[in-house]
Amino acid sequence: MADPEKKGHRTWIEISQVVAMPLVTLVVGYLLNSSISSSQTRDSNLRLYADMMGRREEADSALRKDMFRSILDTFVAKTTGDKADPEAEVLNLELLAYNFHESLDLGPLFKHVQRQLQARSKDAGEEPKDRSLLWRLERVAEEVKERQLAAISESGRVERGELDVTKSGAGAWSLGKSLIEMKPGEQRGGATLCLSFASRDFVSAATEPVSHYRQFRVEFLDFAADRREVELALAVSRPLARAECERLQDSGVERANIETEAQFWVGPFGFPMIDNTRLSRSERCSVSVIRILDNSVTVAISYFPASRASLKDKPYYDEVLQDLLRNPSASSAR
Amino acid sequence: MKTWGAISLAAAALCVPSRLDAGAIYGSIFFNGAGLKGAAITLACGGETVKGATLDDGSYRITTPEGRCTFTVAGSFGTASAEVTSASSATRYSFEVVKGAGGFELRRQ
Repeated sequence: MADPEKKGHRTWIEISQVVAMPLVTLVVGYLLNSSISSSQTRDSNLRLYADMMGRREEADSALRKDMFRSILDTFVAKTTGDKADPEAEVLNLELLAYNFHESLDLGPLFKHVQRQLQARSKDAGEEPKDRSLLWRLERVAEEVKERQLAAISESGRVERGELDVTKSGAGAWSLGKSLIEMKPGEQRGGATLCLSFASRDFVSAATEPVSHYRQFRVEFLDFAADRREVELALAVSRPLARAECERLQDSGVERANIETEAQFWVGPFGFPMIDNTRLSRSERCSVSVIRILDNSVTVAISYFPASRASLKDKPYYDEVLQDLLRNPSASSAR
Repeated sequence: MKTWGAISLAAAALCVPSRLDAGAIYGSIFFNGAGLKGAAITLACGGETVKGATLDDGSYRITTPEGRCTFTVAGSFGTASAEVTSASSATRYSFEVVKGAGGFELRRQ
């Protein structure tokens, strides 16, 4: 009884052995093929997308180049006999500012048109039209600065405040919650702030963003009412621990912590994405004048990653290399 | 009393009105690694002399006539001097008071 049963089992095992090999080959082959095929489809889609983006960028660049050239020609290719139409110049500047504010430093052009309008007002007496053009000029600059500050604040930090040009020392500044309060009665030459933003730490190569803290000391030096500009001195510390950053240091320690110092004139035509100070760890900072009303200057102090700087901003090669070595994924995202 | 004197001196220095041919000199004075507080500063520019004082953090800002001036700071160490140049735009002069061969001197930072 047991023999035929055993014989039957053996037959089934033999059949299975014969069938199993081709079956496994078939399944593995199918899976392999479908995996290669889906990977090829994905690669081809990516190539197509990159190609389309490249073409679109090319077309966009060509259009912007033509537009830029034709507008800029109206400023620079004037013959001596030609009389500039101030309204057309302001309109052209508006077009340039709204379309190219991330890639060009338009500050000199703004100042040039402002000087022309001011000279015209002096020669022909103050006309309401010239006043309105000067106001338009500052309004465009203000709008562009606000756009840039909005982009910066997405990944950086922007602190706003007022500067009273009739005062001096730290008392001239009234800033927001980042300002480090002094002891009652203490007198210092400038206001000190602690600003931070969360970013990947290239030094520790941490995968999660960490907050970087730095102290910023701004000192008011001079005010030129005719040019509508303020002269400032800015000192930025190296990255600090939070507790260290949030308290006023002894002046000796404060000096030892300084990483970068800058002295500059800034007016309504300084744009933060373009006109900024380089810091270590691919970071930037900027002091912008938003508007000037009588003796009060509205300022914005921004601290942000270099990736938010303008297209004109080129990272140093050694900086890129260091970032790449420390954190390859972060560098590829730049 | 001494503190009030220094504060009034500092306030007087900060209230000097800016002139057309004047430039500002600003910076900090350090002594023994810390900011020199309430030290009297004298700037002799040609025949003109301008006085001021450092604030609590050792910083100062003085409006002077443009040109070469002798910058003198007086403190517990005595006096120390250095030559500075004032221009139409503000110029930063930060000094450390150090002991030299002939007494204390100002070393630019």
